[in-house]
Amino acid sequence: MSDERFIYRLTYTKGERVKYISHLDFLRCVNRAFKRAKVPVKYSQGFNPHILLNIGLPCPVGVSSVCEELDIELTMPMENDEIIKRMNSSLPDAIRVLECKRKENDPDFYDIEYARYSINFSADSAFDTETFSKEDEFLIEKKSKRGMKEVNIFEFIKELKISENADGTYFADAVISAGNKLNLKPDLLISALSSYYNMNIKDVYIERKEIFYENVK
Amino acid sequence: MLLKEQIENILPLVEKPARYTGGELNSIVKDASKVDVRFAFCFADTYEVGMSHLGMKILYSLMNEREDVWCERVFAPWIDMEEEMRKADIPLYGLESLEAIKDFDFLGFTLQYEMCYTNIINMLSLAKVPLLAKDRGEGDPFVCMGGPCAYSAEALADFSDFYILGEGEEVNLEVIDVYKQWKKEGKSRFEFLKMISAIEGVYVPSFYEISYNDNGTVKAIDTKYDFVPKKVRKRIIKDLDKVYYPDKFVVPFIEIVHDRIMLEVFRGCLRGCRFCQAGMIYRPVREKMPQTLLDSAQKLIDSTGYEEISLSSLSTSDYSCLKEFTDGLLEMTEKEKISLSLPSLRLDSFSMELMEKVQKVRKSSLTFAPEAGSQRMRDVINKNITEEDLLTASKTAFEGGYSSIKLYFMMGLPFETIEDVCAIADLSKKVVREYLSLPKEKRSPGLRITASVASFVPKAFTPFQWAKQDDRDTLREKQYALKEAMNDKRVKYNYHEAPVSALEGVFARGDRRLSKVLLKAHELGVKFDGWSDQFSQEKWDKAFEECGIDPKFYTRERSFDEILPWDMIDVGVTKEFLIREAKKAKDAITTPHCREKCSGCGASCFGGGVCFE
Repeated sequence: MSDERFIYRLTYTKGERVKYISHLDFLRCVNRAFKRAKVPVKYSQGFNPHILLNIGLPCPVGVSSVCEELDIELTMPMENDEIIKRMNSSLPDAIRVLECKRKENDPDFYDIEYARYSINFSADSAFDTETFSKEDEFLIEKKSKRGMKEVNIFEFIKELKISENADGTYFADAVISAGNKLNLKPDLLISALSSYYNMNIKDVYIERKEIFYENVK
Repeated sequence: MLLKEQIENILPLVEKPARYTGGELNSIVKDASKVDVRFAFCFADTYEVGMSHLGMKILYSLMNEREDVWCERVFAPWIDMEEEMRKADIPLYGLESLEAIKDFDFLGFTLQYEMCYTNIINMLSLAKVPLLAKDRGEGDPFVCMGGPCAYSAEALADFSDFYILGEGEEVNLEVIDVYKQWKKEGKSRFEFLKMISAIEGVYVPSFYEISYNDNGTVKAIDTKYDFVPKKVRKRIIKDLDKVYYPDKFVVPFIEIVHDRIMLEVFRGCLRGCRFCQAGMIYRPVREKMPQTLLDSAQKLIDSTGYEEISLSSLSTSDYSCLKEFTDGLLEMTEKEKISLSLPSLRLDSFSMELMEKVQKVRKSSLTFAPEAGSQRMRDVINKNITEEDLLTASKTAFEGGYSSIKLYFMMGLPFETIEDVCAIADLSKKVVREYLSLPKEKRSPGLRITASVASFVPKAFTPFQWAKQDDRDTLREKQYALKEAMNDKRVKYNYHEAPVSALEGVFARGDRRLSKVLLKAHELGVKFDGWSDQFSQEKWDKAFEECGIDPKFYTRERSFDEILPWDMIDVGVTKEFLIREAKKAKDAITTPHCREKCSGCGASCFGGGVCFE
């Protein structure tokens, strides 16, 4: 038996219609898609064999994405395009595989450091879009393993640019901590803005655009 | 703002938003401008319950096979979603198009149980469709109802434009064809109802005039026009092996109650248990061939990716090709790495063997349904199993490594004495004794016996349709007596809430005067009666009181010569047969099943199935 392993990394979208699905439900959905696609997936050993599937960075409920990643192990090699074709014909329309490649020197999901989100929203009062980004400290309540904790949100923000759209709504381009080490859910940023500017924010649309790894350009 | 965007804005505010977004695998999205008929298939319960319903899967796929029809799914939004929808003025919409169903051609409700009736009215109100059939006019959809309760859903008569009785695969399409014709001719709503009343299986309640005696019973059922059939006979699919069966199921993102492939092995039931409405209304038994079922199974495995497959029929072990079929199915499930779950089986040796084969790894709990505690009572209800059957099966199960058995019983059955009720405790304890009689090393640890006792509700078209339903106090007394008799910690005793059963009994044998009670209950905010946390006895009491209707009138004993509110409906099984059975029940005499000996129930009028084997 050869020790060669066939692990593939897939990049895929999570569209508007599936953005309210929880991570566990999403996992089950992708699992079934691999079965339907008849991609030769590898199963774990043991009483309850499961597909060797690893989803990179769980997507928060209510957030769509164009940059999701997962690793899947197969029992034999398969053409990248063939995997894409089979998966796209067996996934629901709102989930599309964009890329597939054999995992070689790609970084591990463990090393995910930041994610870029674009956020559209409307506010019930006009505000100066620049003042918040100029602050050094703004304390928010954040859930940690030991209950609620007060933290400085700027420790989680790498980049933040807010601008006004032509129709009076707002747009935020935010690169914030993501992954195992530090993580900030984009809706916490929204509520921080809401309390900083003392205004109500609604009609929020969040999309994940890009994932950044530690030590990778 | 588009409806879609309005919906989007309230989704973050509700629990389980994925219930309301559609977009699941195999859900069907069409171009609305290219279809002639839009059909909203409505299930008056939550997404998780409704999506588990096989009938909807069949009819959804069947209608969508047609290019000119787009069938969408609609479920009852949960309380929080309803609140947000009403606040934002969002009308009830179809899950495929996210468009308001008030603009559809048909709203078709499936009536699976009586406790969903108020949800139907609430859904009509959320859809912004006039609640009463008489108030609907040009531009409003037709509201139709089908499913097992439709045979005796007189309580919904004021809300329903028409009912479709029996199996829908053929008749639904016939109605749609007539509709297209009617639309082209531009005639009145009345004219459409007239046209479809000529289709066998279509019942238009407004074409019948019901008069009442001074004592409240039905005096006469008269047809209002010459063209109206005196009796409407249900439809069946004569050759079930040839009937359409979907090769795709919509695969939900969220977990639903029955989240698996379902195979319908046959329709109908041979047994003739006297309390069981399904056993009467689905007659005659018609089977599919093993190969047909295996083909369906393979296609559904390929198209859904489900991890589990189950068999969905009334008494599955009565399937005449069970061995051949399950051998083939087990081979398939092993190859595909999916599991097979079996419905409740009969207590015979083959079933036990099958169970053994299926549950190779994990021994979960087994369910047996003796239904009654004493042999006399089981003879009354024609449940042809003996105490010995149950104890032998239990013993086999314990020896085979099971330690958990669930037992299903009913109380409040006709001719039942307190001794019969307490016999439930004796029987449960005998099952415990079977376990204890095995040497310790031969039994799995952790004995768990659960006795679930439901309150019996007499249903139309059964031999017990004339019987008195036990009132709340009587049931409470029986429940208490049984609790006393149970006195064994190794048996866990569950029982149903009596108030819900009482209400179910009213609507199960109701007449159309109950429509106003339903309307009143709706106005009082009643919904989701089947969910114990939502059920409100107070509101119901108020609704009955304000309408001047005594619910006890509907749960009383009736005489054989009384005109029943559903006498205009013909399910094949005749009243004469039901009366014969009711009399035999009184004397505790059993009736053989269809394959042993034909009892002349009347279902042979359909010219197919077991009657002609």
